[in-house]
Amino acid sequence: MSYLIVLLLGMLAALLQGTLFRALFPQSFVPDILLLLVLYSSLLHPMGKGLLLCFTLGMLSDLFSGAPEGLNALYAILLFALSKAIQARVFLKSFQAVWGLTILAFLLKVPYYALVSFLCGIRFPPAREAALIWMGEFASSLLLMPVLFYLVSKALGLQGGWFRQNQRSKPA
Amino acid sequence: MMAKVFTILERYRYAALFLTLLGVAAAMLFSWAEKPFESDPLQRTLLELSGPFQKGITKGMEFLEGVWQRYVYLVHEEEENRLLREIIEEMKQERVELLEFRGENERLRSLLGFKQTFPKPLLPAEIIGRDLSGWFQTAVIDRGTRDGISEGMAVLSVQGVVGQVMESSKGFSRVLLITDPNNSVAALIQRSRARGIVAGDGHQLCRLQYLHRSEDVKPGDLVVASGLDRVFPKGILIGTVLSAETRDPEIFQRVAVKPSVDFSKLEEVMVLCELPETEELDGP
Repeated sequence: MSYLIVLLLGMLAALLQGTLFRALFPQSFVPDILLLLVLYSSLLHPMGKGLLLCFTLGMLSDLFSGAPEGLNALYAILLFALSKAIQARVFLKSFQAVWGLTILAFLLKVPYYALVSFLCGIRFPPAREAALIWMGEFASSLLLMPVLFYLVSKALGLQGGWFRQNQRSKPA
Repeated sequence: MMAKVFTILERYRYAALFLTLLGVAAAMLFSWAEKPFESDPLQRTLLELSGPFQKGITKGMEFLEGVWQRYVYLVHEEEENRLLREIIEEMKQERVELLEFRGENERLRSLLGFKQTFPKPLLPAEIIGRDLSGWFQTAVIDRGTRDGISEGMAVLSVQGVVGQVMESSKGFSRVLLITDPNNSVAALIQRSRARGIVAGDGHQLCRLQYLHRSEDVKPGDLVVASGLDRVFPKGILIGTVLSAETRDPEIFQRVAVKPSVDFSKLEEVMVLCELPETEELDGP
């Protein structure tokens, strides 16, 4: 059920990101909601379902943005794996820790795009323009993240804390 | 033996799923690199499915904007005299409506005029959506293959060159704007006739590339399509030169071009319903 909700939210986000948010926010200051949903899914869903969901969200991002197919899907899967690896070692309970994960996701986007550009010949904007786009996306996503995470938690009926995983008790 | 295989598969099922999805995504990405911007059924289907929703949201936004401009904003300003306010309000409402009609009329007239003066068939279309992020500069229009649109067609506006159709479903199309780095237009400086290629910088401007350092170019020069790419008709305005810089030991100048089209306010476009003539290029 939660899988479907996140998927529907992803489709809604993709639609709104290309229409309403484009009109509401200044140019380049549009948050990457689908990436935030990928992060959220990595924290909320188990391996199998989570992987499929992140792949689907990444594909949605590719198809709606006109980006080469696989660009964001690949990043979403890698991000999912990274997030799970971090969760296996760090107990992500605090809000700051989740925020840190979001920052990491955006920081890694730059070398990932650079690598893909080098390997596949995809042309991204030159450094200065890319920096402007990245900063706008980064800042707006960071601002939106708490609101979005809170809303998704509410929509999924999670009580207390940010994530279901956080409600588990610490091992004795 | 089989039981052992199943045990191994069970144990590593997530790793297998991860590697499979990773492989699929990487394969798609590398197949794109082989044939960039080649439309596929998945993209066309999603474009067709999401198009009506995008159009609905865009129309909804226009409606709310209209309601705000015609009612909420005007009502908020009335406080001193109710009667006078109502009269003023009605007049303002009418004025706003008339201005809206006049603006629309002027836009349509200019489009019509442009269409009449243009020698090739042009199809008007409305922009109903934009790209998700700033990394790729695309827009969705409410015309598709059933209107005669196909991939590769030029998209223009009264102000100048807008972009090129990159994929089309039955009712909708995605346009790659000239501000995208993956788009390029054969261009020339109108004054000096110096030739180059205009490519987007991915943000708001374009760059005129491969312009030799000896060529005469100054800020303020108009950049027009040269027609050599067989996509955009010769003479259509692309933009204005913002700056031209020569750095040693570079052979080519660095020329920044401001597009004549304001993409943030672009609502209506025209699609040049004629496929690029590639026969001559393919010939001997």
